[in-house]
Amino acid sequence: MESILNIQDLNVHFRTTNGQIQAVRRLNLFIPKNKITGVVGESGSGKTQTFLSLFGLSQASQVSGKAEFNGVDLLSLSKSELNKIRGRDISFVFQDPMSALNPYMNVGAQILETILAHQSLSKPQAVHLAEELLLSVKMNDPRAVMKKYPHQLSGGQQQRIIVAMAIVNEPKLIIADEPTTALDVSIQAEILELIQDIHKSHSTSIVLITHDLGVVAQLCDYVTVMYAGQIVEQSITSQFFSNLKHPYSQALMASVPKFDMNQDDLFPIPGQPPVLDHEIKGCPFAPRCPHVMAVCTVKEPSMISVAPNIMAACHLYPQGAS
Amino acid sequence: MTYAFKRLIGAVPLLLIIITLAFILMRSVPGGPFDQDRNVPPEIEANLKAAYHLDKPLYVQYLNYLGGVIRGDLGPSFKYHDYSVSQLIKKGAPVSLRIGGLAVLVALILGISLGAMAAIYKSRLFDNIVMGMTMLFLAMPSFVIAPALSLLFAVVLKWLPVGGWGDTPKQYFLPIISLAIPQIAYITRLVRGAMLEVLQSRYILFAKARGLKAARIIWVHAIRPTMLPVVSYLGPATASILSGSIVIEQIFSIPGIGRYFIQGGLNRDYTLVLGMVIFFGVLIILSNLLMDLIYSGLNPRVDYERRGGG
Repeated sequence: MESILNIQDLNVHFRTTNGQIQAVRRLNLFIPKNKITGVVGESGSGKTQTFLSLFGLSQASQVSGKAEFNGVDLLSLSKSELNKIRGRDISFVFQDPMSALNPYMNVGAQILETILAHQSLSKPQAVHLAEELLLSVKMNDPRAVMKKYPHQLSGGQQQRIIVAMAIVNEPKLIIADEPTTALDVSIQAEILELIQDIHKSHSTSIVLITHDLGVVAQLCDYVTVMYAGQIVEQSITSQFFSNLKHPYSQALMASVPKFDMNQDDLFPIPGQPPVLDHEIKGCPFAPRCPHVMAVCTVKEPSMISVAPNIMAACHLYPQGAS
Repeated sequence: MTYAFKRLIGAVPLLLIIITLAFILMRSVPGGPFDQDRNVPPEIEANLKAAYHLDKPLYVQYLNYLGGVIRGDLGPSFKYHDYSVSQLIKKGAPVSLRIGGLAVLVALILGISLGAMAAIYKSRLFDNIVMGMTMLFLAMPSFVIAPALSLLFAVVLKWLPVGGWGDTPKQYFLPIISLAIPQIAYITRLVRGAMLEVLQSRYILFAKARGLKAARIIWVHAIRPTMLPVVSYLGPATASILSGSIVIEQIFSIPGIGRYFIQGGLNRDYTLVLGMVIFFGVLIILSNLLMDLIYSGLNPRVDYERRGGG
């Protein structure tokens, strides 16, 4: 299978007043081309920082490793080279559309500048493209919409505009960072449908960062589970939910409330994710793991194939030669 | 327009209060306009007072004065004989307004660029130097800076004239810079703080994520919200530059209206002082109104017209 993004040994460090935080640790991740890959995990597991740091958008003090995107190593690029890729070959959809749009500019100007930063078009051509684009994300009366300021639009409309900006330069990869978390439930479905439509019509590769396993089941071809700045399980969605391999994935799934449960049946994961201000020995999930063994606190498990199309980093599965 | 009109109507009672307070204060100060004229016989002083209606009860004088103001007549000056207060203001105001206006302009241009650059190069050498300088200049009032600059550039280096007005454009430099420096320092800090906050916001991150050029991100996306606190500050800044110019005009012997304020106060030139108070009051009210209008122009979420219309 071809990759659109292949991350090897990514480390992302932050300097804080309390010392260094290792937000992403020796992360290896393969994002398949023309597919939707879900990235799930608790807050602070490094999901967002992994992708922001690759494209020079994080405040990290240090980013190291390799990340092959479309044939080039992103981490070897200069600032201006990265700036050319951003918005053109890769685009982002952020969590809260209200805060992602500049409140002091009308949305038309913001769409136009996104086009003109990467395509050599005349102003009228860009306006025409923007109007077509707004129609394609199901915004009626694009001419009127473009004159509006963000606060004059609903959350759903704002997110449609963000999505429109994300696809305007026909990127190879879209990173959607919790695109529906800030929206009403009824709007969430519309936006997810929109993302799915884009994927179908342009076969764009998409990374969908989310808390919501339901969204993963509905939309994603592949699932990646992150914990404490690392990947713990990577799986094809069709098998993921029926065949959870990593104890963290199992715990995550068990903690999702279901309709027919009462309060006593909630299963939160005991304990807290580790604070990443020091080197972690062994498996980061060991202190919370119901299956913890002696080896878990000593040796870090490596990602191995545990079933067809499923990889996991866990000592429950024979680590083989590695 | 309706909003601006409403604000102007609203300014009338404010102006009335200012005039009344100034009138009361001026009259409660001991002495009178003719005390310094030596050996005036009592009969002549009485005649003088009668000529200027100072022999009438205070409330009559007050009402007479208000009546004059409404008709646009600020009365005669007691000390500058042959001049009305309006004539004096007309003579001095253009000079003072030019100095004040240029000082505001210089403060804006330098304050905004220095502040923005300091924010962009945060915690680097440039930022540290600029922040140190602003601290220093904020602690120094205009009347300290002016003689210091004058000593350096006029007396020691002889690059610029010590004072005077109207002979050479070089005479503009020192008074304008002296007036502007504390404002530059304040606006720089204001812009730096606001810019730093704006640069942290999600929409700047999203602008970067869209591959926009750094210059566009700063001067199109970040500058507008950064300008909001600056515009809010310009009202008070105008007031402080105006009052600063009173001292500066004295130091550089500039024929503005500042000296009329001082001389008027010392001479108990009642009408002149009241005229100046009205002039400055109107100026500050107008500049505040202008700033509010600019503010609403900058911020699409503030719409005075609609809110005013209910």
